Amino acid sequence: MSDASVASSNENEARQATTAGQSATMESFSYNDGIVRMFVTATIVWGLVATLAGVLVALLLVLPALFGGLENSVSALLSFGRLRPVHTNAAIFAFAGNSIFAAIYYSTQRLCKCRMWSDWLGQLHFWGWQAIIVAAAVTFPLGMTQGKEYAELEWPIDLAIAVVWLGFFGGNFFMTLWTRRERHMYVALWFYIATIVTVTVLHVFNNLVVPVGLGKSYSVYAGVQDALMQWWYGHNAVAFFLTTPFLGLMYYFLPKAAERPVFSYKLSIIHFWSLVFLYIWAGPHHLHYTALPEWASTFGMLFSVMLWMPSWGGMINGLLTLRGAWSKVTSDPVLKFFVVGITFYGMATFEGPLLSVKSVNALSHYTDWTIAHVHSGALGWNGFMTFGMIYWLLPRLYQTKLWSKSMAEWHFWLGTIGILLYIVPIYAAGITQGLMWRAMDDLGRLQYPNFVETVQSIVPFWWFRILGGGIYVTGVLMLALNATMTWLNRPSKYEVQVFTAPRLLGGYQDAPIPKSKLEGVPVIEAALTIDRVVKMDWHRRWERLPLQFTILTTLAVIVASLFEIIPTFLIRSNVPTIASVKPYTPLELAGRDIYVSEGCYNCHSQMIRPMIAETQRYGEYSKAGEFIYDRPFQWGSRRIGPDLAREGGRQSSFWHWEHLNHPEQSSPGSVMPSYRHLLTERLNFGEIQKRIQAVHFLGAPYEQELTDAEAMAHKQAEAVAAEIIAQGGKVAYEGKLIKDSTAIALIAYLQRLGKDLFRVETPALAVEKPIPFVEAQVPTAVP
Amino acid sequence: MLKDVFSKLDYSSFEEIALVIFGLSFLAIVWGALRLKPDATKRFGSIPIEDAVVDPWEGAKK
Ligand code: HEC
Repeated sequence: MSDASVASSNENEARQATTAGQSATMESFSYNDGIVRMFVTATIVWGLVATLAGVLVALLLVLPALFGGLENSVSALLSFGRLRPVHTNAAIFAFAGNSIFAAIYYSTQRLCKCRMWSDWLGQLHFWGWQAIIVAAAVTFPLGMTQGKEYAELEWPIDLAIAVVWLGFFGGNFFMTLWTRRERHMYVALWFYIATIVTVTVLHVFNNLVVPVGLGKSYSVYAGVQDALMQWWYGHNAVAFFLTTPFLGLMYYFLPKAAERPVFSYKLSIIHFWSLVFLYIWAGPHHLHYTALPEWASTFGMLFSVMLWMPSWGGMINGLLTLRGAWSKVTSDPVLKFFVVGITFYGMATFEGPLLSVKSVNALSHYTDWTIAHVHSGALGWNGFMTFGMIYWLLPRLYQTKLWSKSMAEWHFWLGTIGILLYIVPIYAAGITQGLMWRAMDDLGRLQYPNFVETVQSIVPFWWFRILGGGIYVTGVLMLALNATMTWLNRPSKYEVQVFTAPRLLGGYQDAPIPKSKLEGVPVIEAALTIDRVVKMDWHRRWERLPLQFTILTTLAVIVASLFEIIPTFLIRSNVPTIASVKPYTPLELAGRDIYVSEGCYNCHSQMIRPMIAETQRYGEYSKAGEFIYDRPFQWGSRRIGPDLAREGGRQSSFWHWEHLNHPEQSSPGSVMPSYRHLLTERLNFGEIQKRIQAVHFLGAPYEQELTDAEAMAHKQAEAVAAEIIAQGGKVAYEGKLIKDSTAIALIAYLQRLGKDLFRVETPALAVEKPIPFVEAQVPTAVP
Repeated sequence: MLKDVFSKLDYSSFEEIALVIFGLSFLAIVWGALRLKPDATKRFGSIPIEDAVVDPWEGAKK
């Protein structure tokens, strides 16, 4: 434990007070550790939930029919596309989120030598955040999603996040900084400030939507712009939710555990600022070879490669903090977790820049390589730093010995083996599948034209992942047990330490600026000023002024973002319009909403890159102008199934119907889950009008649709149903007419995908307003 | 209003300007960090391991 109550006097403070004719007021205070205990408990609980959900979705990939025996309405809740966001969001926002809150609440009080500003804001923050997580866990399985990775939560929950994050958490944090007793803001606090500010900006701008109900909205951005915003957000979520706060954690808890100061404070300053400057531009590396303008993606690559340097600077700074203390590492599980965690930070930040190089990305993108990369970061860096911190905190928070040190050692070793057993096979899977997709025979034809073959070749690796994941979860279970037992051994009443320190005085003056060497030399005043600025005393000043510091960080982030975003939004030539691309018909729009809601994007991309292997497999590469009505964009990031950008007309509508019912029969070896429930679920035609109005408001040119959407949707649904029947389907399925099913709308959407580019308008139609797509196919007998 | 401003902007050189801004800010930070005096960084670095207030000029007082 830290020393008992310390009476400290601060000479500079006292000196100033005396000159000002007042005495330095000594104040007594204690730290709020109750809130830290709550966040630590939540971290462990959600850590278990997140990793178990991960094992579950991993199981669904190898056993797609796992829940096939359940009621339609239940198996729908548990399908891969809806559960994967539960896993990712739980890992990021619930597990890592609560972990950084625990770290920040514990360390900020100590670094500021004052209690968190408000106990009840802390409570509101804690319970608000847990409520948001529960809301996520309920709405995702119900299919309420914005359809953008890690920004899936719908707008009412997004609003709650803004309030809890900035209002409760940010408010409490900044007021604590304001009332602190330690003048210098230690570098960990800078990382926390950057986290709070940047996450707010990212969250607000990526989630701007037009709602059409409590559980559905349309992004204000479309296509390319939506993609750019999303990955500007997505990458910076990695940077400012999973990196900067954990670096703050590292800069506080590592010196604590090692009982020695950080290796180089100067390096930590450079580390901080270069991360803030560089990260914000790196997002477009998620969009190489897509319809994003070339310059933006080159830019993303350049800055990503530059990121390698500060990241390794940080890693080296962390590891060298242990100089002379390596013997401790062998006996202390906390330091073991930290050393391996920081090493994984180094690995992941070396691999990230590598993956952002276009030629490497051409192979890695859409494959499991990315999945392996994020898990070395999430399990290794975020997980292990969290575990190290918790094992260090448990005895201090519960004021008793850790229940079992050897179990913590076991956790460490199991965790490490678990990560390796997870990532090694998944790297192998990613590279294998990537190479199979591009393999050509001597005649220049695809060597593996059947997509399922490439999936089947990696299924064995997926089994290994489940083993690795399972071992990792076992480690988390041990942590939960160890924490519970330690808690049971707590004293009946916690001892509250009281500290005393002087209040910071308002009119504080820095020690005098060192005289300029130029003083007395006959130079112009400007030269003196420059000399003073160069001496950098201002640097020491603003780094201890929270307001200025926060403004500066915000400015760095916003300016950098605008440089990337403005041109993409404003240069017309970035998104050349294509005359034949028209908005979706009312039924197709409804079908698209189902596609989004089911989370098909978790397995399917809609973005054909300009490479021979892709154009041979999927057809003409995608053009930016094809996506101008896509809200949200659905380019995807992982091809567990084939790309669907040119799916329209590839298969018959009847094939789609059958495929949705039992994919493994239509495509033997498929791992796509059955979507039986869509065959019986009734489409809510009455909703469509409102949705058409919303996308019209956002710019889609509609005319007749503005008043007639429902009738038009019925008409097209009948036409699609008639087509299916003509191709061998039945009028009704399980006693319900197929024409009113949600599957029909989804099929209408799938049949439209990628067709507009090639549509030729007949001159007669060109004069009139364009006729909705299917009216060209004369409806036959309507059931 | 805003439209006029934006329409007069020349985006073609945004990347170069951005790089220059980044380079300058980065150099300023590195310069600033390197100029910090060793005794100051030593005191800053010791803040997390001291329970008492660390005076930036005088160091921690027990
Ligand atoms: C677990 C991942 C997964 C999910 C989720 C998923 N699919 Fe698939 N999908 C696949 C795989 C794998 C294939 C390739 C084998 C096959 O044809 O079934 C595939 C194939 C397809 C095909 C056939 C493409 C072709 O022409 O060969 C279509 C169409 C399709 N999926 C649509 C959807 C739709 C619509 C959804 C959401 C309702 C969806 N998929 C959800 C994995 C998935």
